[in-house]
Amino acid sequence: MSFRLRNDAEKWFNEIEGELGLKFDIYYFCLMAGLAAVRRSPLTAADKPAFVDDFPGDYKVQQNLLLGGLIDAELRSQLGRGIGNADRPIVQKVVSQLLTASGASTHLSSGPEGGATRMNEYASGGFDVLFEQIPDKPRRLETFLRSYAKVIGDLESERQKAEDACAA
Amino acid sequence: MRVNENVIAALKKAASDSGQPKEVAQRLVAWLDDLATGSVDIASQSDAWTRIAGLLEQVKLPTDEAELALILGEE
Amino acid sequence: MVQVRLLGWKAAGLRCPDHEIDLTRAGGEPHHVSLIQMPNGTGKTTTLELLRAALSGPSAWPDSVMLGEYAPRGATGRGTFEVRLRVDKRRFTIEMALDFDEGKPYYRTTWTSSVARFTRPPSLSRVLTPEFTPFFIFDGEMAQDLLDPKKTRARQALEVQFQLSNLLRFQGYLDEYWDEKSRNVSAKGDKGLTQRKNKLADLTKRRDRLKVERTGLVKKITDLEARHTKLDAEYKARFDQDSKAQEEREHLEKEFERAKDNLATIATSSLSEARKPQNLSPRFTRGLQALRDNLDRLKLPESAAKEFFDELAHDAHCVCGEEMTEARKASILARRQNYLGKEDMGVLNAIKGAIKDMAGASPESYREAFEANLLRLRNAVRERDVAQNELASLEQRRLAGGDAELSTLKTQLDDLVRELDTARTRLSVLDMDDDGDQGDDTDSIKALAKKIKRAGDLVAEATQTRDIRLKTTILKRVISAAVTSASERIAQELVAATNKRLEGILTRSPLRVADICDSVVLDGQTRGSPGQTLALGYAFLLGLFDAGQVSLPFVVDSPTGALDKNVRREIAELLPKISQQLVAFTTSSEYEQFVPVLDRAAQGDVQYLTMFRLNDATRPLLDGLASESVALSANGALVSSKQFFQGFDSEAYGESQPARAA
Repeated sequence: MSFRLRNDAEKWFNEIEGELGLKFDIYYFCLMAGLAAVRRSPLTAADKPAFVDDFPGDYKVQQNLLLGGLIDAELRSQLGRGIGNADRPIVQKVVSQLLTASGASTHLSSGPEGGATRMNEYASGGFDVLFEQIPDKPRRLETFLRSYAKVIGDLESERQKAEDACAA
Repeated sequence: MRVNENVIAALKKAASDSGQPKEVAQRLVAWLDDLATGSVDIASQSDAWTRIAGLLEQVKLPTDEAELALILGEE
Repeated sequence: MVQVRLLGWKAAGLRCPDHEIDLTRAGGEPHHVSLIQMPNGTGKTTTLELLRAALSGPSAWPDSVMLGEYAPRGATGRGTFEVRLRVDKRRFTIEMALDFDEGKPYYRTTWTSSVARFTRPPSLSRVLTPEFTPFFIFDGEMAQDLLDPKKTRARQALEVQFQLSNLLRFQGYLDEYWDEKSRNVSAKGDKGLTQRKNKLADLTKRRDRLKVERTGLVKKITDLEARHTKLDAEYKARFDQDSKAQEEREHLEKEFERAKDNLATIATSSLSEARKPQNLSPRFTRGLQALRDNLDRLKLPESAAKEFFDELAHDAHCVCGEEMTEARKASILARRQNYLGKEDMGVLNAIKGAIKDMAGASPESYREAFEANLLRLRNAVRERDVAQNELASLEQRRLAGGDAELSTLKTQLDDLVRELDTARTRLSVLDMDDDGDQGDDTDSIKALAKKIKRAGDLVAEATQTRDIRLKTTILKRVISAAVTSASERIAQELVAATNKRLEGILTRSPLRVADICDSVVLDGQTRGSPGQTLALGYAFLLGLFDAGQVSLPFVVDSPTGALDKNVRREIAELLPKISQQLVAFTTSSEYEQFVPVLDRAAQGDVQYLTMFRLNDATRPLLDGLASESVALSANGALVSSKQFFQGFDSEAYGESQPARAA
């Protein structure tokens, strides 16, 4: 199992899909929103199976950064903070849980706790965020890119504020 | 102790009266014969279903829709 | 005709006294008649029932409660009952063991070889069944029952012997087969099929209509586009009649095209930049950098891999130089869990490298560069919008100039564009992808195609189901008709055979059978004398056995039962005539007017056996008996002597019937 997209996400993006060129673009926009908001939600059996098995096109170059982002998000979610000196075992555990060297070419492990499922959940959670933050479905790429960048920026400052409040 | 001739004759007649090919009667007689010789057990459902599947292939359906409806209506 | 003879039986550990009965004469042939006298309470009925169960096989025992009733009072363990038969010239033995602890019967049969199950000679497969044994092992009421219209004994006997019961069971199987095949099918009847067919027809009609509409739309769009091109050219030509306006229009249009191209280029580049995660989010980049630093700090991936510990653990000596023990080995392998595998280390190193190479600079710098790109994008959008607005206002000004024809052309052009838009929108609806959640009233041709396929499958399924229904119904009808007509013919033959036999037996006042329906129906009179009735019952059963090509022994409990002494005489004369082998259980009350007459009728080939429980009251009876005529068991005695039989008063030694479990 590799990258899966929610049916409603695919539908929401359908007017700019032609301009995007890659279906993975939709997945990526959702994923980055999910990682920025640290939000996950499960897919259901009603959602379509994997639409692509590997990072396509330009994204192959970004593969390692996205994997790193997933590990970072997962560690933050489990530790509730940055990594400390005593966290070596948990880092090893998370890394071996999410990644596989010998399995898929994505290096994402399979199974219900594996990296592929986890990444799909962040993409799914990210779509929820986009749907909440952007009132109209995207109709033109040039408009969407700008509103999307703004949403990511807003999510970041929100997270920052929340973390500052926690730290204070 | 094979199948009684009266039973064989009755099955043949009943099949032909219902417009069924003689294979239908033959298969029913063969079933009785196998039971009589002890080759199969009447309690064996799997044997029964295999035989029924074979029997159903032999059964001819009337082409007239009204007649079909009549048969189903009996049930 | 298969000759079946009962040679004897043996009982141990059961509710009746342990005993062994041998029905044969010196040469090994069974006696024509064997009389077994037993006081009440000795287990006469029990013995008869056990005999029937042994001959019927395991299906005679529907439940463990019933089986428990055959245990001796308060006893557990096993009881055994063995029956010896001769089938033509060969021995056939049935051993039945009743396990009272398990509540289960166990059978062992010896025919061609000894097997631990109930295996009958094929020629007896219909006879040795729970349904049929009651027709040759029975009590004095049997003959009466055959004539009783309220009971269906005659019909049962006929159905079993002629396999009509098997045919009726086939019908049961047909019902079960149908139930199974239609269990997961929602549309079982004709109505369901009709509904499904209608739905398929509706969907197909809708799809066909939409396809026609689509063809029309495509043509319409082509036409409209051609008209649009033409009208647009006319409009422009008219517009350009003002040469200054023409110049301005050409300039603005060029400008507009340039702005659009520019926007497209910048949008492509923005998308390409957006595909780099470090550009979108400084926070993401910061997280990556922190991850890399932390991994370095934690020395991850470590210099040693899991595999290193595997090697250490399997060395002959520990790294400390000591001998490798199981404890040391376990301790090394436990540490292994804390390390990554070699290949995982490679992946982690690649991630660290990518973070350094692609996202190693200041996190904000990436986003700032991206923001600059987005700003260019915003400007390009504005530029395009400005060019578009200028074109629009030029047109406004030109139209305001009072050229009526130009205005008309403009109105026509606008109408045409609107019409084109409507047509294109409608076409896009018809060409919509199937997202799986559209209703049957969808206008998506693709979605309808899928629905039609599904509906077609359902129609096929319902058609198949209906065919099974029809065919099983027809088969059941064939079977019913065959059973009815076979019953009639067989009954006629049996009537003739029974009457023929009766003529031979009841020479003085012959009784005639008219018909065999549920019971045997007499000709003219509704009742014969008890003796006649009995004769008729036996004649009917013999006719039945004949038709089945089998000669069976009769085992009868109290053959004259409660009958009048005069009648007993008649029956005693009859019984040896109508049976090849007769085994009768009697009490001394049946002796008078019966045994002596029977002895004479059987020309002396009668075996006299007396069986009783051994207790203080019966023990003195054994005094003075020749030892070879007495067989003793732990709890019973069997005496083979005509003289003892005649003198034995079974009523004096009777015991009250022990209560049976309900």
